[in-house]
Amino acid sequence: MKRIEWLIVSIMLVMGLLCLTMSATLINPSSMQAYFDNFFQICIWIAIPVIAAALLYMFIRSKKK
Amino acid sequence: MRINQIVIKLGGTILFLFLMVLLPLGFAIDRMFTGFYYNEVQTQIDQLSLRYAGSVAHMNSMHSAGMIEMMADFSNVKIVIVNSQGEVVARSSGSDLPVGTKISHQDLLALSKGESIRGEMVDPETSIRYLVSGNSIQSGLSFSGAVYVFSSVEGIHQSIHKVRNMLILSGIGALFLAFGFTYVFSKKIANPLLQMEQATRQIAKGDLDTRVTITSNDEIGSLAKAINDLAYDLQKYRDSRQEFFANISHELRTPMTYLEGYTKVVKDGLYQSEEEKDRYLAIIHDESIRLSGMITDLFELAKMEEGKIGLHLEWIDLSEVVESAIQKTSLKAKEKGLDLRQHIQEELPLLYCDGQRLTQIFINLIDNAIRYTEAGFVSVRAWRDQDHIKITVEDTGIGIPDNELDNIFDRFYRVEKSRSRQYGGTGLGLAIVKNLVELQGGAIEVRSTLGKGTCFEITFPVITMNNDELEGSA
Repeated sequence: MKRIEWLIVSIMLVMGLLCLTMSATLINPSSMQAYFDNFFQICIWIAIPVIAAALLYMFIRSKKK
Repeated sequence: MRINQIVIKLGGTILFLFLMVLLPLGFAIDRMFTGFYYNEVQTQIDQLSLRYAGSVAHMNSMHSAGMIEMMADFSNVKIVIVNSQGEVVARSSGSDLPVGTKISHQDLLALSKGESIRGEMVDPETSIRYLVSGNSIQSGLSFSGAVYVFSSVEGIHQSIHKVRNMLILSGIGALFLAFGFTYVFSKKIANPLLQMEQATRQIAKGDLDTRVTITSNDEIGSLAKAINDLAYDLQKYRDSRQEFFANISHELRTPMTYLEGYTKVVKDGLYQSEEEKDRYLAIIHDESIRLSGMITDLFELAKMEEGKIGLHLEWIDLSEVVESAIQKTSLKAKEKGLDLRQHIQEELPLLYCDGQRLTQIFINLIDNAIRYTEAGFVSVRAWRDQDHIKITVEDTGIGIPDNELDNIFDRFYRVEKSRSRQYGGTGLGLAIVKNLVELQGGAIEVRSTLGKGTCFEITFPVITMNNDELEGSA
């Protein structure tokens, strides 16, 4: 992938995360701390399937060996 | 950017599927929130109307405006009380039904039976929507009226509207995330295909050293391996073709040089005696025979490789074929003082082969063995090994180095390149043998020890004859 493509993808991902965080925070507006907490938690929710897929992949590879 | 790209197609498909899931999911979540809020308020006003109906039943006067106002203010709802005829007899301020208004006969009937009234109504003046709950007032066992509780749903609508906006915002966010991940994912899938496309174009241009560097074990990895194998085969084919042309021009030029030189000597009378002339003529004769043999072999080989050779398949007694081949080569073996042995197992099943071609195979192999053996023996053995018949042609000749065994069946390949004229032959014999064996459903292998000898092993499958053929062969 070219650098410009990575840039577009990064912008998309950041915008997506910001939209999700806004929607999670604005329903009950509070401090910036809550905003960052929500942002962090959304990142964790995205990471969970990635970690699960990586673990599954490693498990399958170890089984094959 | 071209639309007709696999990245666009794949990414578009994934996004389309994502939207197919996201939109109905968003609708379902919206319905869930709406239903949940409505249900909460409805349950609340049901309980209120039931409680107030009980309270009014224990009071002496149901018309106490102060009491009704207090209850309405306390619960942030509007209250209307009707008598047993369905006529409004009291109401809290702001209620839509003025005193004296009658409720519908249907509602009155249901209330008189002790049933609850639930529903939604719109204030015609303010257009405000209300959730309604009505419960009957029971004095002992008799129906004495009902309490209606009205709760505005404007607040609910505002909350739902806010939640809906947040849902849309999170949907857009999810769409952005999906787009980003889908793009990377699509690129990752499409990149090996593009790499393979470029590699195959390079191969098509003639750059046969091009290889695809994809090591995955899935279908794409398998395709990459197939492209690499194709490139390797094409490279091998091109190399062997170049080598073949180089060999053929060399092999044809050598006898032609002899013929040219010696015919010139004879023509110009450059000999001193008749014996010398006869010797030169003999050389011319031998070289012309060699040239003719080479052309015949080349023609045969070309026909075999093109699949144009016609085989006359019939049931053949292997021992007869081997004996015939030995008989034809025994003179050469005798001249070199070699012992030509044969060990054919008795009652071997008949082979379904072309007898003439089978004889040619054995003559070539025995001739080859005699040519490269100076002392010792050449042995032909044949026996049955389960469902196969195995035939070996073994010699005690010069042997073949291990690193050359793989090339021994190539056209014009010679182990002793420097002494090829001394040993003779066209360099095509083993290539013809291999082709003929394989054309008749067999396989040939070679084992050799340098300085000790070589063994060619041919394997043919045993084919069972049916009754008609048995009668025919008898």
